[in-house]
Amino acid sequence: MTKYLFILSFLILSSTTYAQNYKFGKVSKSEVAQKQHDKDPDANAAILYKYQRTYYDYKQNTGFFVVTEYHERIKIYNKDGFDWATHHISAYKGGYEENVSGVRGVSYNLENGKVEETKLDRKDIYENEASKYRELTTFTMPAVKEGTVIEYEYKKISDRITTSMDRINLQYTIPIDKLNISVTIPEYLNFGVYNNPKAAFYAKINQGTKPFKRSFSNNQRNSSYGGKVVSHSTSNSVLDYMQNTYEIDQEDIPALKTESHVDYMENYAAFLDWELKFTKFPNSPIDNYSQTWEGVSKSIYNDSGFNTELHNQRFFDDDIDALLGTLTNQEQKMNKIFNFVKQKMTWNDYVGYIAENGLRDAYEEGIGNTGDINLLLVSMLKYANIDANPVLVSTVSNGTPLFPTKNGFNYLIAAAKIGDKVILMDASDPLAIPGELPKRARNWQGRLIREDGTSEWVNLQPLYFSENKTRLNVQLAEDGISGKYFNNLDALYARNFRLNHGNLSDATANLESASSNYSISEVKIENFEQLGEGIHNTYEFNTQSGQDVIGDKIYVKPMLFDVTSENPFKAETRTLPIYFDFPMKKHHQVNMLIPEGYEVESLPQSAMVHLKDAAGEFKYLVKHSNNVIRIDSEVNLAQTIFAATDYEYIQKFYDNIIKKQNESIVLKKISADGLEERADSGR
Amino acid sequence: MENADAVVRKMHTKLVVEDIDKVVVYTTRIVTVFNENGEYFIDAYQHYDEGDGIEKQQAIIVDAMGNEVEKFRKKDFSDVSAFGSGTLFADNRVSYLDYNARNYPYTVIYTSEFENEDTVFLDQWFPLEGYNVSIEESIFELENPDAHALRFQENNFDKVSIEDHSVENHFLYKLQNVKARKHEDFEPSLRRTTPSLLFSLEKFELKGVAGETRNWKHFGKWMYDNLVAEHDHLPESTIKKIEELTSSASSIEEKARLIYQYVQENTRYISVQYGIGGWEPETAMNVDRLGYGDCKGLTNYTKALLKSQGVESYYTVIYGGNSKRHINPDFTIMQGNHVILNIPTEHGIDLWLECTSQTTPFNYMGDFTDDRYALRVTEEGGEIIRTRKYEVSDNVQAIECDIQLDENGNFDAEFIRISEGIPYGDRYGLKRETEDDLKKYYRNEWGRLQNLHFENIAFEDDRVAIQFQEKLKFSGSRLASPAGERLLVPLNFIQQGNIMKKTSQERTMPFVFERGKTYKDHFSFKIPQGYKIEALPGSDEIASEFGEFSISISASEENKSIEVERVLIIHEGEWPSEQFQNFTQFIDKVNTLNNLKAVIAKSEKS
Repeated sequence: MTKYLFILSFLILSSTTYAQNYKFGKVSKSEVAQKQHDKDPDANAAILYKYQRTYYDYKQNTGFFVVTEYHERIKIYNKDGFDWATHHISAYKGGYEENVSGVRGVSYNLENGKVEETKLDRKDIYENEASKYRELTTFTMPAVKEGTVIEYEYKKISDRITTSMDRINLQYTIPIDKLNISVTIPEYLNFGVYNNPKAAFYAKINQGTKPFKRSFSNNQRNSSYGGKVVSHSTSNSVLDYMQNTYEIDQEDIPALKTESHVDYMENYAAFLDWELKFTKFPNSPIDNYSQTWEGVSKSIYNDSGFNTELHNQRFFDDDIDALLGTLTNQEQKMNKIFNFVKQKMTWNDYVGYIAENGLRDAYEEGIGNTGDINLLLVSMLKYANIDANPVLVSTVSNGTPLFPTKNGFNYLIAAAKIGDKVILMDASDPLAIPGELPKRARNWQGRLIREDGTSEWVNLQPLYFSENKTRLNVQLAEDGISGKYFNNLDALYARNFRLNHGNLSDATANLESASSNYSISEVKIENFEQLGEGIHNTYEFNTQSGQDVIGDKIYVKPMLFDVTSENPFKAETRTLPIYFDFPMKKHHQVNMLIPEGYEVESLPQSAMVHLKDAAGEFKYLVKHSNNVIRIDSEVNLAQTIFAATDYEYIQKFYDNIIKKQNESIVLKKISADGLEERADSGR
Repeated sequence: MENADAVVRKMHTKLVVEDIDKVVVYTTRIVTVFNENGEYFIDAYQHYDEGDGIEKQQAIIVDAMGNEVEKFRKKDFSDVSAFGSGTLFADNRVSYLDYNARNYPYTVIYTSEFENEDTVFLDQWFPLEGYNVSIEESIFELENPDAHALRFQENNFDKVSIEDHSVENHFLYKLQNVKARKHEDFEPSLRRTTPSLLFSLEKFELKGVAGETRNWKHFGKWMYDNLVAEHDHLPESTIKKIEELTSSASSIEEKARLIYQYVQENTRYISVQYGIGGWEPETAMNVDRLGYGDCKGLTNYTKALLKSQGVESYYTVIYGGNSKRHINPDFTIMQGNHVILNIPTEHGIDLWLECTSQTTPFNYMGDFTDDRYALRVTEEGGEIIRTRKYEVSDNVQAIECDIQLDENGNFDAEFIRISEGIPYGDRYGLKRETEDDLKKYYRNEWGRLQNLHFENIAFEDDRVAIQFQEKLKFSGSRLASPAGERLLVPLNFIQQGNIMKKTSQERTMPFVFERGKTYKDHFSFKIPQGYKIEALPGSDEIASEFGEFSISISASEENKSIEVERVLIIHEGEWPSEQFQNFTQFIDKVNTLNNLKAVIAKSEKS
């Protein structure tokens, strides 16, 4: 009973405390006086109020246009929050026009117990042309100090009305205290609205309707065929329709916090995406926009010129004939063509599924976007009678689409079917081989589309293991350690090695200086430039400080410089899923020769650790025979995505690896009467 | 072509002095690029101001077979604001070649003609342009038909053979065939080791304002009169506020301290580059109104506030950066990239204020502006002065730490670290971090320590004494590694001042440490119940001209703890390449001693 009362009184109290006035200019003294955020005391700044109102209006001559009004009130708690005082408003110029107007801003500070206002001066607002398609309006608020509240508003008018609505962001790296979104759309346009399912915060959307009514007087000129004006007439017309409304009125949206091993942070922020399902204008039939992935794929195939592009093969046929000669083996032909395209074409860093430059021009220029390059690859494969098709992809930064839409794809790769194997290819990546995709293209799933308009999903994630095998042959002595290192990398490990080191001479130099305590010499790297082949590294190493000689004993960690000594998962808790790049096997074998005059005093014990559902395992095996100690350490990870709730297991798994690998071998000097002593200890 | 990412086949800069407000710069630059890194050396760009002075600009791309692949005319060059996205507004622009390479190697033939009316900025000659680039031919030519007064300064001309073909009023310097080389660890900046030719007109113009570079006094006077003077008016209300604020302060230092605090609390840094060639500060009036400015505006504003209370201070131009780069004291020309404030005091020790930071303590320079020549701009003229130096004994990091071990090798630690001098600057920002970020910071810094859990993290920031104290209580796993019944205890609990060195590199360049550092540690390891100390390594010390190291290891009286005292001093200095071998020997020895371990074992009977 008392508990109940307490909650009730708390509610009443809090509702009075938070009675805020959100009108522009009505910043309260308590907002300016606030020293830290009450729910997130670490926040450098907070959005006290975010308001966005989007509605459609109508002009007689030009028709519908979209108006969006923005208003934000931001509290800056400390110096690290100052960046929130600078704002860039981006407006599109090009196929349609966006115009920014009515920029107004005020900073509020407490001076001698009174709220003092400083206005943003027009001449301190800068307009820059950021690119051909984008104009930036930039301003930073005046008189900003620790504790300042800033407020600004502006209006954006766009003459683009159909097919799409911009994403509305609902979460930032600082908390939002009060969120007020209102979107009003004429009944003629039917939109679906979606929350980001990956976000921890879901906005509650209240839907309703509202009428729109306006009368116009028309001054009409009727003209004849020849264009001559024959009569004027004035008529009155009334525009009268219903509008669908979407409102969000919510409080306390927490800040988005970054974590390691995440595929792409922004994909976890809360936002709303809009899907145009159909249009129904008066006196016109319903125009369906709502789509299936099948339909999206088909329309991309038809609208983006794939068909024409893929059938014009005349500009390259001689080159491919010369390239392939009398080859008949499908796989050999595929490899030849893939390498040919990779060599011939340079990626211009633009993504896209449309062949932006057109295959012919791109081929002649030797440069193109991902659409140009990989469609060209498909076309050439087809020419060589290989069953090849384009695959639509959404890059990691494009995220996972919430509904079937063309915007859900922004990239294109090629697929070839040889026998019953489907091989995916991306010739925009100079390091890739058939079957390997760059990280940007390994997201969600791909949609393979065939010439007849049918399509299907294909998996983009590597399902095979990539292996990293190391063998250390170690010679231990009192005054140092020397030995030989052998390392084999295959598949994506080899790819990463090439990616990280750039070229052979850098790779050699990097290996030479890989360890500060060991001198490394005779570095040999095989197959660095032979893409698709495993990489073999060998070198010799020696050091004076890899072992500890204390008293009559030698202590040494068997994996030497190759030991994992830091846990990649350091944080105590986790909220986002954990991503690993690919399934992997990491194997170390150490063969250590016991120095003359020493014997084993103690060895680490063998151990084995499993992750549940065979997601991963760690094996550590220790063997000792005659004067050789052999250690095998194997880490396998079959699963690449783990839920945040599995974090503790992953962290412990790594902790076990580190613990085991860091145990020392202890060797002891055999004393002069060693034989007897050994017999003694053998009891 | 060993080590080369690119070859500069030809770099020919020709300046024709037509008048003191018109120098035409003709550039021909031919660069062959071997790989992506080599694209850095294409350098096909031209800076300019709103009034476009680029008369001609063209680039031709030639492939490995010598065929022309592409031609860029002036309009094909990309034209952007010369400052990055961190800048709110700037009117300086740059027109540059944006070429997307298809195949390597390729050659870029770049030519341009630029009419420079701001003759205070003139091209200087730095023929050795960087690492991993070979130079086949680099020419600097100057025609001065009307014999305008000008001056040269040759630096490091003895290091390579430079041909001087100058005849009266026509100067020509040439350098040929210098092989590419790699960067070597700790080598001094290229500016200090490679040849350069500085050059200036005795009479110049900047945005139509004429001046002279006769000497620093003269040039400084010009800067004062044209850029700084009359920029220090303030609103009456602000003057009154400052008057009240400083009413009880008597000394210059006290007043300056209060005013600096006021500036830090009421302004912030925003880069806004306009005015005379980006060199004119925003007026104090405007900075007061807006509450932001760049280094020039904020320095000038602070100066104005000080002046309103009768404290004289000076606008001082400097090169900011970790590497100590000087304003060349012997050659008067527009130099520097940053502005700070210099305040002389009653007792002859100058105060220095970094006005762009809201967090730097009063009179703290750190490694951004310490110990280098700067230009002090006064009403009487310019003066070269040297900023404050932090000595090896000033730059102290001292750790005092108790470590309780348990029988699994896990530990609980109570840790205090005090940072002073330059290291203070690396640490005092910690107190503004969130708890999560602090945990991340320490977990990364002490990556060797496993499973760190922090019970308490506290800081004391003495901003007057410039001393930052970190006080931590934390625990972790497996510090001591098990070896059967024994535990190996690494005696260097937290490694301070590690110097990483690359092995097997041929040394051709001198090496330099620009600042001395002192690291002092005391670690006290309490061993677990039922354990005894089985073996302790001996104490040791090393001394060399590069630094000193000592470690003393002892067991406490009751054998319950191991006491470790460690001191590492790295001296400031520059040494010739031949000494590098000795230096690495010193570092190897230090690293070996840093890795010492003690052995503790279960007592026979427990």
